[in-house]
Amino acid sequence: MLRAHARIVKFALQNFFRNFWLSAVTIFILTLSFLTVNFFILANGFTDAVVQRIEDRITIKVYFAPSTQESDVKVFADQIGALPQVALVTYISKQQALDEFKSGFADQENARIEEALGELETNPLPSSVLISAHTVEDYPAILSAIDQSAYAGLIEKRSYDDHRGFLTTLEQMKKKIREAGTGITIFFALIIALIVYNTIRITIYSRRKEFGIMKLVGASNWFIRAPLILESIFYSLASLALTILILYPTLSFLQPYIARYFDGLAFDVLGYFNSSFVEIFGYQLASSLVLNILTSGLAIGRYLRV
Amino acid sequence: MIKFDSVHKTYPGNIEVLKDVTFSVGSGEFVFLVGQSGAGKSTLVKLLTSEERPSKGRVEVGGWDITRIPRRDIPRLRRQIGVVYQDFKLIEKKTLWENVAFALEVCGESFHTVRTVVPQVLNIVGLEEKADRYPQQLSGGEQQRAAIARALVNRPKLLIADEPTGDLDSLTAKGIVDLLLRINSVGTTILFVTHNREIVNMLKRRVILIHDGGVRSDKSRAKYFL
Ligand SMILES: Nc1ncnc2c1ncn2[C@@H]1O[C@H](COP(=O)(O)OP(=O)(O)OP(=O)(O)O)[C@@H](O)[C@H]1O
Ligand SMILES: [Mg+2]
Repeated sequence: MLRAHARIVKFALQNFFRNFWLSAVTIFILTLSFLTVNFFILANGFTDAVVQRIEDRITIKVYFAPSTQESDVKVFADQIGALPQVALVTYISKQQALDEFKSGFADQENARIEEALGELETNPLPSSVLISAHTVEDYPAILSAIDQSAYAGLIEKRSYDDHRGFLTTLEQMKKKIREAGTGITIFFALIIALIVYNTIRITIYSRRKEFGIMKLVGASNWFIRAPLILESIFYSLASLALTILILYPTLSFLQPYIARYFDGLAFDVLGYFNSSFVEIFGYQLASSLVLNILTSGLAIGRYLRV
Repeated sequence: MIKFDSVHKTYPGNIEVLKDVTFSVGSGEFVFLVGQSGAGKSTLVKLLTSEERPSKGRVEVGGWDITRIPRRDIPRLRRQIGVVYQDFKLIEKKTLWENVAFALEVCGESFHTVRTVVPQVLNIVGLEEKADRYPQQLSGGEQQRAAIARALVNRPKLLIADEPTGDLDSLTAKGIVDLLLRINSVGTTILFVTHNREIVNMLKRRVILIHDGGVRSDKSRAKYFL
């Protein structure tokens, strides 16, 4: 049995190298398929990153009436911060608000604003609390907690309501993008499966005479089939390796351009692949192995009836 | 060794090639199978290796009824019969050595056996120096001898040669015939399919003539006449 296995490996390697151009074309097509799949994975990750960034920018800003005691605002901030849905609470005092306001102007203008403000007795800017949730879905709960708070009466204005319509749109958009993405991915997966099936079928078809002779000499189906299946495993491994070899240098070359084009969008393309390298390429390898083994099994079946 | 019992063979499209063929060949015999081109000689060989199945009748090889042999038993049948095909049927992507070795490898012979037997057999057919060539790099006669080497390598009890001298000059053909006679002398049954009147007449062995889909004549120590 071991002897037979050794021979199968030998025949698989022989086939692989002696049918060099056929192997090369098969690997080329498989590599193109892998690159297409990875393009979709990348596009998906990219969409997620964009949506995430928009979501990160959404916060609730609560403005208190100018007369409110700073200590009350701090207690309110602590209470809200204790909610499980809240990721981050930032307390902005009247003074901080003023500093921030001033820093928004050039030095020259600042002097004039200073002058104008000097005429007012007190700092006109309200103190405020900036709240961000873990996810967009958490905001309604936080809002109702704010409304039920003992300090609700001191609140003058809430910024969240401005985003509400936009958020609904974003949610819908996200869902549509996901749906379209899944649809396109399935569509392409089917096309790729067909291409792979055809490639393997042609490879085997072009060698059907050889299989016929082998059978006439007394080879069992298994003795013909096993090296071919092993060969198709080589195809998968080689083309995935080639894909990674193409993908990584290309992406690291493109990374700065992507960052610049999308205005500093913090999407680390390489990091994205690195962080789930095993999942991304593991699944691709697994599915291509299953596909190759199935299709070569099917294709051989058609040409082994002697 | 071989037994045909009222065998009919009709190819798809109602092409009736063999109608009622009956004969038998004993163990260790040397038999010529002759007949016009298209008479159905190669078809008869195909029935023996189960490449085709009889439409009617019974075929036996070595006492084994192969008329309705299950698919999974076919490789076992073929490993016991050496066949030299009319069109050689060498594997193009394998060297001469590998082609011959393959017949041993399918039987699961040890690496050692392969290494010792293959050169011996190549030596017998005089091709030991061309062992590393691919079939396309060999002449027609050399390919024919390579096919004989492959058919011999398993020491089959039955050797079927379909036109093994077709492409050879008469001197080389004589060499092949001598070789087959030698193989026959150690007990291997030989079924020699040929058109070659000269060889048939020279050897004066049993001759089975296939004509019009049946056995026209079957004579021992016969000459070839149509
Ligand atoms: N697969 C097939 N389908 C249909 N007809 C076939 C098939 N194989 C052979 N035949 C026909 O059967 C007849 C016998 O063919 P076969 O090859 O047995 O002849 P042969 O006696 O070996 O001839 P030759 O001496 O030329 O080799 C021929 O007329 C051929 O056309
Ligand atoms: Mg013939």
